Amino acid sequence: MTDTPLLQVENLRAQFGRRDPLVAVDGISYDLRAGETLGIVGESGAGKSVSVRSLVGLIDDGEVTGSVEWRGEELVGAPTRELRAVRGSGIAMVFQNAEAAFDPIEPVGAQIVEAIRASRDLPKGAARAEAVDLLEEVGIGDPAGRFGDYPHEYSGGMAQRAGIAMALAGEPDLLIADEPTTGLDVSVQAGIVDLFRDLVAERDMSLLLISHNLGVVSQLCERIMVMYAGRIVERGSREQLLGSPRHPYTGAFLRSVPDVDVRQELEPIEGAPPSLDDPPAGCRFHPRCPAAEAGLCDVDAPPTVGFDDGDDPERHEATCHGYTDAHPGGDAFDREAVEWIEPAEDPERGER
Amino acid sequence: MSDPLLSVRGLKRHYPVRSGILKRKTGAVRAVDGVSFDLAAGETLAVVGESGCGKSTLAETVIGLDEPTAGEVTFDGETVSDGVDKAFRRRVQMVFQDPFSTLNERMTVGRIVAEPLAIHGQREDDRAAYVRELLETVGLDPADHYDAFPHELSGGQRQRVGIARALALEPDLLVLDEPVSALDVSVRAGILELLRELQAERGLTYLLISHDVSVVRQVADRVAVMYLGEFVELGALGDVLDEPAHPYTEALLSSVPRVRAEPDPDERIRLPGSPPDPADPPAGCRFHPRCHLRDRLDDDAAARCVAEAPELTEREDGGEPRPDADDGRTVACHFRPGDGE
Repeated sequence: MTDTPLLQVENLRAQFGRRDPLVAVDGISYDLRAGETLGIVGESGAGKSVSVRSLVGLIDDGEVTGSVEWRGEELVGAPTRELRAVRGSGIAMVFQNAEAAFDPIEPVGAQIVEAIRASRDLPKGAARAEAVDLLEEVGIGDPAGRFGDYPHEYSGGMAQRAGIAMALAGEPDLLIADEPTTGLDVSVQAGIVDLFRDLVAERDMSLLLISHNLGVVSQLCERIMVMYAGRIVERGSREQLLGSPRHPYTGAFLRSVPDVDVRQELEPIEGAPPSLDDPPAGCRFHPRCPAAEAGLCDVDAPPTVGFDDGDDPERHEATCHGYTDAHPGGDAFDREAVEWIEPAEDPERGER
Repeated sequence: MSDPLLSVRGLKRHYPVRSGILKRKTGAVRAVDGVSFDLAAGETLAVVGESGCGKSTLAETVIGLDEPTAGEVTFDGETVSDGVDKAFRRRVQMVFQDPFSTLNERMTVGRIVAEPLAIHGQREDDRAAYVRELLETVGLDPADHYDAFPHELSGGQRQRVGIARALALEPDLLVLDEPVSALDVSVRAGILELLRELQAERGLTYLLISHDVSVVRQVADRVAVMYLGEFVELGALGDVLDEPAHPYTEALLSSVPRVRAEPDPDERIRLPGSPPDPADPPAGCRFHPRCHLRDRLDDDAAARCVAEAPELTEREDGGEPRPDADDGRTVACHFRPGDGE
């Protein structure tokens, strides 16, 4: 693809606190082209949520460094007014707790009208008609009738739909959804997944979806990145990542998800995700990795390894020592598939 | 089945709805509305359903945390629905969803696990050693964790403490209320595996309450599907999850987002609307306003779903009751299994 990406993220870092800073996102880079669907999966403390909030200046008590270019315009360090303009039209966000996106003492419809008029110069009547259309588009039954209802009068699933209508008010090119179905019942969740799929197809919008639920991500995203302890450990197309996971964490994560259709041998990952105020040195997954090699994985930051997966044009990469000559390898590491290996820029970076 | 360990008959728990300035009783939320089941020693029955279906109220009513409005609960031959005694409180223990909020933050792990023993005056001579043994049983290292405080533990470790505490009095029945819902996926599998092992080693009986069908799939022997205060289907795990008969069971299973390299959006049954208000459930079959089966019925048949509440019965294909059925699956639908295609 030749078009310049909509979004280019370069070495993004977000930290909280001055003394003993907690680094929630530790140097992640990726880009997103128009119309793409990209999912970020990971467990608690992986930094998924901070990684997207820091894109658009929604981290107010932390320090964000690196570069985020939106259509070529730098957002890191941009004035609040500029960020607000981008959030109002180009990039929109939907959160887990949709009701929180609304002012509790103002009717839902009026708030969507405001959001529409904040991004475009429309007369009130036209904005109102468009707000009703938006509510209908997101699947609110009797949108004109529900227009004057207050946020608390919407059920959980309806509130999430209204939150999505609000996000669409500025006709965004990129919708960032942060755990949008977490806490919803599965039958309601399935409806929201359908809605995102329809919106992306009909509006030619990009989607950046954050979720701990691999099922939801795999249903919606063509590209997937796996985050662990503030870093991206693997990225690739949905087929690459689910079909031939290359990072030991990705494989273990896939095997630990209980299958709804078959009773299986359950394979937990030993231990728990690390605390970010004291991340492990070297590869951050090494304390839980069955293939960790002492003196290597617990010392040096892992290199990035690129894989050749047949005719799939998507880049498939994992950050792991297991594919290098310094590591004894094993069944978990298919070295035949390795295309290139790029050493970590600062191999000592893993050590604090 | 030999005599069940736990037997529940016609259990109801209604909460009054009060309105007006005099707070007069104007209606009732029928959280649990006529539930019956047996639980044999050593087996796992899972009650699965979405929020508001009454599954947690059912668990609380069964173990005597809440008083039933009607119905009977029998444990090991004794009626307990009119008040539980100390022996019942020892033999039935509960594991809660959120290990973060149910553990006393100011007590050490050792004391948390020993507390039920202190309350029941048991193991006075070797209590500390016994608690250490329990910690090992649930996969914790007593040397590291006996003197630890809950905030020093991970979510999975806290849930292990909750399980050790529930095991302290050597209960027969564990009521597991969403035991892994608050945990990360990679940790969840370890707790489910632990529950499986404990059951195999100690012959424990489990009543599992869960909204997550994939968790149910991994641990249950039998499954009850609950919708608006009632069981709509009850049977062996394989029967219910592999060949769901009730249209709600079918839709619930179909809604679970599968991990797929090539997703097929059309493989799913869409369930319209949200569950109705349990204070004012629909007439006839409570699921009828959302039922995908009704579209395929003729008008007379569909009218039956609105007029008549289906009983949980064993039926053969064609909807006829079958008194001699052997798989024990019961379904509350006028047309399933069999009709309605």
